[in-house]
Amino acid sequence: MGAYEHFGSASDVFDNDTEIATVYLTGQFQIDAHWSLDVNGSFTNSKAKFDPIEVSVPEETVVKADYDFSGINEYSDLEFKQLEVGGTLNKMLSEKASAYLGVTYFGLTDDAPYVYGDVSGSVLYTRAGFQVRL
Amino acid sequence: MRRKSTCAVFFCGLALASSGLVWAGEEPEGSQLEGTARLGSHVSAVQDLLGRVREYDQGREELQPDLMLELFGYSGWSRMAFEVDYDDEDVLQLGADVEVGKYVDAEFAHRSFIHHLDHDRLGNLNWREYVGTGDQGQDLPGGKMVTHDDTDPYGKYSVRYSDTRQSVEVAIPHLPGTTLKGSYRDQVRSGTRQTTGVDHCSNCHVRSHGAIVEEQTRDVGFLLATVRDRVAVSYEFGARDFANKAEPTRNHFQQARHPVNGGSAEEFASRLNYDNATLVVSDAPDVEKRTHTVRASVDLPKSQTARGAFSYSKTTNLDANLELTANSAALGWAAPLNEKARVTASFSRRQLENDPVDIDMKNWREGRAGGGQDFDYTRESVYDRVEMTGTAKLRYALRPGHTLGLEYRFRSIDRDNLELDPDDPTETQTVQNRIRGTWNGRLSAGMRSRAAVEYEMTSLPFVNVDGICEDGIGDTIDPMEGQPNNWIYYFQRERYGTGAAAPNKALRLEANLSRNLGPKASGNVYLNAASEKNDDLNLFDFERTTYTAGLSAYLVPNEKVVFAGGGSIGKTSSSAVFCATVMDG
Repeated sequence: MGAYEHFGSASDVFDNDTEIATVYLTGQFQIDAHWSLDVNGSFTNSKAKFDPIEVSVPEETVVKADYDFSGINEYSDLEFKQLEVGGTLNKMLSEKASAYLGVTYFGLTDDAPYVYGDVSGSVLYTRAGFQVRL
Repeated sequence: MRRKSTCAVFFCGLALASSGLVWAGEEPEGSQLEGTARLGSHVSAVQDLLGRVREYDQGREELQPDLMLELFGYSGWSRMAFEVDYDDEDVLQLGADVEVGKYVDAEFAHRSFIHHLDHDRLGNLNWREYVGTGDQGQDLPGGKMVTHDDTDPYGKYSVRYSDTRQSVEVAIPHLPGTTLKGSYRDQVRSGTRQTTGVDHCSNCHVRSHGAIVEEQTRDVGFLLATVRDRVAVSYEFGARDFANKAEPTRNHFQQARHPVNGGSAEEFASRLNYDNATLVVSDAPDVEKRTHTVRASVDLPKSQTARGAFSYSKTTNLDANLELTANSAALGWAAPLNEKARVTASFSRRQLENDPVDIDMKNWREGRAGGGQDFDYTRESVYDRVEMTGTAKLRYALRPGHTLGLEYRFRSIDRDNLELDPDDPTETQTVQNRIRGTWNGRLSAGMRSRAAVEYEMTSLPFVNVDGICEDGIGDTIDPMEGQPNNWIYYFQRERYGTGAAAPNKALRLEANLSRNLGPKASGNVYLNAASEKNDDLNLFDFERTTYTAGLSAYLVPNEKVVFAGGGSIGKTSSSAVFCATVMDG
């Protein structure tokens, strides 16, 4: 028989939690006979996390291999905040023609970067032009 | 060539329509054409990364056209709708629906967009064994390590997806109730993605590459349907072809040897099927699928209906010449019991069979002391199965505006090649029973509510039998012949834990309340909750709790202002077991 330094599995039962919360609001305003404004906004906060893993490792293993599981739960934490705010201003030029100008801000904040690195970013999107009913 | 075939069905239909079919009845007079056109431009200003904040947008910082045209009209029997929405050459939407006379309806739709993909930096794959402390107090590294390299560190990956659909449906003039429909769909994914090759043993050395994506999926469909008196019958044929046209990605697998001193090459190589070789990785095969489906339904006396369908399909992996065949059959019946009660019942059966795969490997450590083990095996698919589902529903009108429902569902999945019970390897069948009650009622003028509750019991849900956690081996096994007496190999180790993320008991609730305050205001609140558990495991009880709640409201304070808003919150908590094998390094 051999003397195998294989001590079985260190084991723990833990919880994995995910949460997502969203609020949104849109509004349409007819300012006068020629001008109108559409606005919209939304905010989303999403999180995922593990409970700390608490395992006991046989003492004899520490001599040759320094097992440390204390940081495992933090490694896969995720937390994103997403914001979208925008509006479009419309001007009626005639009964059938109108002009529009829209601006929207998109922002994402990565509060717990994962294997892809910090993926935070933002975009300011602007559009303008004319619309005609044929 | 592809563009020609893409347009073939659409224009074939138009040609058929204009080729002199006989119209019945008197054609209405008059015609009209109207629509909307938009001409503008758009531009983005991007800070930091674009791929997540605008996952499906190009984010171009130069002016791009913002073009839209919608047209719709009619003339006599004929009708037409046309749509173009153009953001840039990659983000585009087209649509056309043309009814030529009374007998031909031709549709065309195209959309395309960009999808940004992530780039795993692999930065977490850095680890080296610690074997002690040196004279100067420094850590002494060992030979076991995890390393990585990224051959395309600045790669930004994205795929352009395009989907083009066309169909032409012709009502056969001399066969009332009979239609013939042909359809064609062309999906293309093109771009770049990340792929990895893994050296030596699992996760020891991971190398990332940028890979080309060039995939095309084409579907051709043919449907013949007829309705005579109380009977409707149809036959449908479908052909799908998937082609992977990308140049394959290749990974160089390093020479097997000791990672620190470069020695023991023969010993390391004897444990691998290949080394010091450049091979294709992460390649998708060409696949074809052919499907035949027959459907029938009949209206029976006393407002009863019965329907049935049978489908046969064969899917072939053209690279490996492996086949998957599927047979499915379904029957359904619906009938009113009286003025207040209606029952429906259905039954379906599906059978899947895959070709087995022979796995042929080099003998383990061939020619080495204690080696020569033959691990060749035949891989049977866990997808081989017979599935059966039966449902019975009763819907009862309590009083005007209030309805009760009761539903029972039986489901069975018998997998040919998967054990589900650690104590009985012959047990391969999952059986699920579910009962569900629903209520839908008008509480008062402008207020409605819906609620549902269901309880589900599952015998032998999908689990990974003896798939996790190892017992300590200690001195309970003999060493391999000629090996040091404290060496063990992976295949000598045994797991004992059964893992699962599927419940054997589940309770689910849904509730909804809506209030309408006339044309100027309305509101809605909802709550969904579920509690699921598997208490039939040997290591832990799997538990998952989920709830989502939300509200929405609509308000028109005056004729010039409209508000809409809402919010939602969701939370999921589930348990899992962590197992890490502890050895001396």
